[in-house]
Amino acid sequence: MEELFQVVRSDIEASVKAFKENDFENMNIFANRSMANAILGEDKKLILPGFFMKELAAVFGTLEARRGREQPAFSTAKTMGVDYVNLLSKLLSKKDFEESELWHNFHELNVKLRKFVMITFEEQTYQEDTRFTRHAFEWLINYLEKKKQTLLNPRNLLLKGILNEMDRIFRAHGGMLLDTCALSLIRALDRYYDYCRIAYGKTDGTLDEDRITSIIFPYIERIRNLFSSPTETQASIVSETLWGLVKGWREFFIEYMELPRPKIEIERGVELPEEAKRKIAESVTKTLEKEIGVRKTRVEK
Amino acid sequence: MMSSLLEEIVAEVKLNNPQASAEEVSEAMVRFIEQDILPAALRKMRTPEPISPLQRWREKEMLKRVKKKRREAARIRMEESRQLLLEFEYVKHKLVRIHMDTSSLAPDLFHRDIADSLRRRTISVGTIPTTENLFLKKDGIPSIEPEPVRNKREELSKLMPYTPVPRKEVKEPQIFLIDEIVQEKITSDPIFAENLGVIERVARTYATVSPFKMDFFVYFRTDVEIPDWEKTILSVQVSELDFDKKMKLWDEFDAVIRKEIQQRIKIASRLEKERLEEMNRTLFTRIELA
Repeated sequence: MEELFQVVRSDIEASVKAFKENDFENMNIFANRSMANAILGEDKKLILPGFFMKELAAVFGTLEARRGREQPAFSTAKTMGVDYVNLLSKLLSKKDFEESELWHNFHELNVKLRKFVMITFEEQTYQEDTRFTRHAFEWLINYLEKKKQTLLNPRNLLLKGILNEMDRIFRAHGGMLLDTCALSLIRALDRYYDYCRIAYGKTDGTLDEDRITSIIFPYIERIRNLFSSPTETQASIVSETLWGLVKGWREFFIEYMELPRPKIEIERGVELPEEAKRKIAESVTKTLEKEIGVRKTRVEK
Repeated sequence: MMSSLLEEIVAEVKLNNPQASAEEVSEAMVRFIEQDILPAALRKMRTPEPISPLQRWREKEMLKRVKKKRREAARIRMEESRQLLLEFEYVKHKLVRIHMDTSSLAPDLFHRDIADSLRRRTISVGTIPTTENLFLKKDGIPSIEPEPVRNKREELSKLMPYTPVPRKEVKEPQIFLIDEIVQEKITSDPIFAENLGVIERVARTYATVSPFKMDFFVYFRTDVEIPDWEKTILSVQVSELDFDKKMKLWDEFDAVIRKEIQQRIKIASRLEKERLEEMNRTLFTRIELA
């Protein structure tokens, strides 16, 4: 459908504009929209631009928000980001864009940006070691497979823990294209699983084990097989798996909308100084004593 | 005998809560004052009208006629008063917003200190979806996809009639501009990008701890006598400093940048070392003195 491609392209253009203006919140929203629109059709590769823009929004949002003694090299990193989004826009000018090119560009950007996301101590110490990254990723995904029953525990954070390790390792030691794909799939799985917990949670607080097992476990198996699959089939595994996860995630959004996010709640009000509080307490106590005294006198009378 | 307002309130509270201890009554009263009475009073308080730019200019001109010591004292007083008004308006603004909406409200960059004093971290844990959330949504109170957000700074500026006075802790973030040709080099040369990233990081960190607002601009310049020698210029714009102080700052800033490059050279690989040395040779810091 020609119209769908145009709509997705508009969403990405809006996201690119927001990125150029350092508005990463809206950039993320437009990226989500592009994926929500892409699932209305059948073209699997149409989810990719939105998926990548969402990742970029998270990276730059984090860079911008970083405070403290050390400031990140935001402008240099942004220059590389702008170059990437311009390339993405250019690729999207044709409907029959190459899926592999999109993945390749995204991976290249991730490799370039990792040095800008690190803090100085990390940057000065860690060396690029893609072989270690591959070993660690395989180990972690095998571990996920081994411990998948943990996903039936409503309080588990297994996928987030695995993601945390993968992010850290990629940041410190870099990786190959296939590692970027594996990391993206785990991220998409985590988003999908977050909704599964809501959708398949029972009233007693437990999760519907059959549903989680039948829906989530096959995805873990597929991601695990990615590394050992023949090279020529890897692209289709990634494409099929990501499509399934993103489609499921956006469909859940229609049912349950935004998930509760970690937030800081603000108590409305103005805090009184301790001295004032103490004086109020004293006055109340005195007034109450007086009150009781009056009552006692009345009773005695 | 006429009873005081406090006595009346306490009697009322006690009447409705006969089992409450004196401590519980006073805690309830403190909460009531903190959450309702004080915010309402603050919201109703009116601040003086801001002075016009013309009036401000007149005051500034008049101050020129008085002695330096008095002039400085008056300037500090005026700044403090403007800052106080600004902060007061901000508190009011926050209270109005909190009154309307208690959803998460990130403290604005420029007013982190005030926002922090207002904020009480009651819950800040990662939310694990529970069945409670599910019922909440099913019962018809769903959260919605956030609509594109408006620029918070723009929104705030409409509410605040006062011009923010630069202070060390509420300093605006520095601007780090990169010339188009340098941008091209960044995208085509990853090692250059990495090295420039190091310099940007050091410059920004230096500016963050410096009491002055510092802005940066990076561009290339070709040497007139040796056209092949392309210099990378890191130009620094510092406001509110006299010539001598700017010169002193220039020395210090340049030394900090060079020190970082030298440190990197010590731990770099052979290829990186060569590129870093080249960067050290071709990089020139420059403080705008005008």
